[in-house]
Amino acid sequence: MMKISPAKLKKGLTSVGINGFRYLMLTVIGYIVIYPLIYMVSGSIKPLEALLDVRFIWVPRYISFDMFKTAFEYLDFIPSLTRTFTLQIVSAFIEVFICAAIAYGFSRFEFRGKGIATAFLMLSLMVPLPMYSLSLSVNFRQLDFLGILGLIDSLTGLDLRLNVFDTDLVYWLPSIFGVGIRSGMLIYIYMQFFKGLPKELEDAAYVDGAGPLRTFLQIALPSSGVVIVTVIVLSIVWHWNESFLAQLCFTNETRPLSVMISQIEVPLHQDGLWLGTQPIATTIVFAACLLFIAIPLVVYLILQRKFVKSIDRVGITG
Amino acid sequence: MFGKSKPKSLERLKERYAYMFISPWIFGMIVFFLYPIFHSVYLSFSKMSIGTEGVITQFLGIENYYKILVTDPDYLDSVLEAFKSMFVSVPFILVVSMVLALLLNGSYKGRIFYRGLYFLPVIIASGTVLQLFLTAGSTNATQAAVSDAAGFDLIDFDAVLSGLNLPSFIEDYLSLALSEIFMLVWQSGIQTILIIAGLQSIPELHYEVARVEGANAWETFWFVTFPQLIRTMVLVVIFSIIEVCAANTNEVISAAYRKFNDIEYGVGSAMLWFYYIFVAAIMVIIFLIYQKVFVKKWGESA
Repeated sequence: MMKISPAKLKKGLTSVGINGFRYLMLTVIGYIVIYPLIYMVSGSIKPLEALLDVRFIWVPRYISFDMFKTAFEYLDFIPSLTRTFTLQIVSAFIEVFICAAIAYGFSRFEFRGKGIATAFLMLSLMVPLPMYSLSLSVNFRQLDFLGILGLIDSLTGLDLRLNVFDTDLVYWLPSIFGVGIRSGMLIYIYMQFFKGLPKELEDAAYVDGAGPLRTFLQIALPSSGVVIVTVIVLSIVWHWNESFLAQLCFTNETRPLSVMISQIEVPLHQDGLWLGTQPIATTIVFAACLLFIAIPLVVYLILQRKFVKSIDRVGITG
Repeated sequence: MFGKSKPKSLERLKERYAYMFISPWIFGMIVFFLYPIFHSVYLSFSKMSIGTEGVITQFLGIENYYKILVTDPDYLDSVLEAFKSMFVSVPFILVVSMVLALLLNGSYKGRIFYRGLYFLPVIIASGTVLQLFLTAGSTNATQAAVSDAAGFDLIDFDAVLSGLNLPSFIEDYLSLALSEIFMLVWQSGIQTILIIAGLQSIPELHYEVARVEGANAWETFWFVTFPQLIRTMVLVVIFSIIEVCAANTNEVISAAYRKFNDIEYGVGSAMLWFYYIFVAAIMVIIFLIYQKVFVKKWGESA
């Protein structure tokens, strides 16, 4: 029996060991996380010859920003970025707000059919957007509800079906009804959070005669400030990167950045810069990637502290 | 004071409130989720053309499926490839995000810094960027530069692996996972967040009890942390499967979208749904295992 050794010393040693292991692991895996980013940065600012020179992999000897100019043109940056903001960022904020209301309804109230509704919520988590985005885009050409408007059209010749194709509404409409880009996941995160919020304050508000909407807007929503940071970040990121629906819904109008970047090889191919192994394209591609992630990255660096703290509060209950 | 009727009427009132919050979502589910799914499945049995006179759909039967399964030489290969990459990446992502969550959780110096670093992939969690990085980096010259700089050539992983005398399927698995290590670590961001959230939700009291009972770190993990994380883990597995299934890098998805570009909408839809049936089957199996094994074993706590 090792009862002689003071428990304190043992505890201290264990904690040093655990912390040392923690820092070692975090640094090693952190290297894998950060490496592609550093490589892209260093790969995009140096001229072609230097890219192949292994000696200057981290700090290039000659810096050139030409590739950014070229990538800027290939991405059609300013118009595409504008489209990304009006289409995707606006939709993200709509989604963040609407999903809170839906999650509130789910987690605070008992109602008939809740089991079925929850099952459909889970289903929406399990069928990803690429599976049905084509049908969604076809539907956007002739917006209809269960064929009712089509029936009116064939009976009376009055076509009420809107064509929202090529407009920002293709993202906004699903978000307004809480079924936008991965809304199921956001609703789930909100639900987990609301479950842990004490109910007493809201019940007091009801007894005092406040309506449910007011209770939600003035009591529940302000207390969910922490979780909203997580949800906003996730929603913006998912919207920013979504290209399946956008590529099918925008044929005549300017496309968002996510589509431009995912199809960047097309214009590069036309200009003979993408021949499978031709390296001059890689620097352009790296520069384009950096342009694509630059804004989310800056926003993240600003919000980082809040985001990290917010994560701790998301799973406030099981 | 108030008698029993008051809370009951409040309950009834609340049911009406619930529908107020939920009904827009029910409408959205039908119009923007369920209907497109039915339409898309129907489309996989049809031929559709979009012209100036609108959308014309013509029912064909199983012709599209016959095309992809019998005539198309590449489709089945791409399905196999997609499942192979799913079986490689999902367990790996699960382990990596679990380890990362345990490491990042708790209090230590530099916590904000490390967390900030590890949530970075969440921000850039775009398959597109990483895929471009890998394709652009896969030209021979850059490939060499990449592996040199990463220090991965210093250790010959394949040699180390074969020296361990592992069963060959584990060895194959590990060497496959290592070759995609950037992709896999980068895909673990959201899952790490989900597990951290799960860890935070375990009451501190349970750890105190374990400490009083004299459990060591290993026992604490297996008897306190793990059982309460099962639900989160199931969510993480499902989420990872969906991520792999919906990624731009997924071979089946990209093949189907190429068909869409060639205006072969029916064939593309058939490609998607034939693949998805198996994905759904895997998810159902995972749910069943969860129900039968874990819920039974740990009862209500899980």
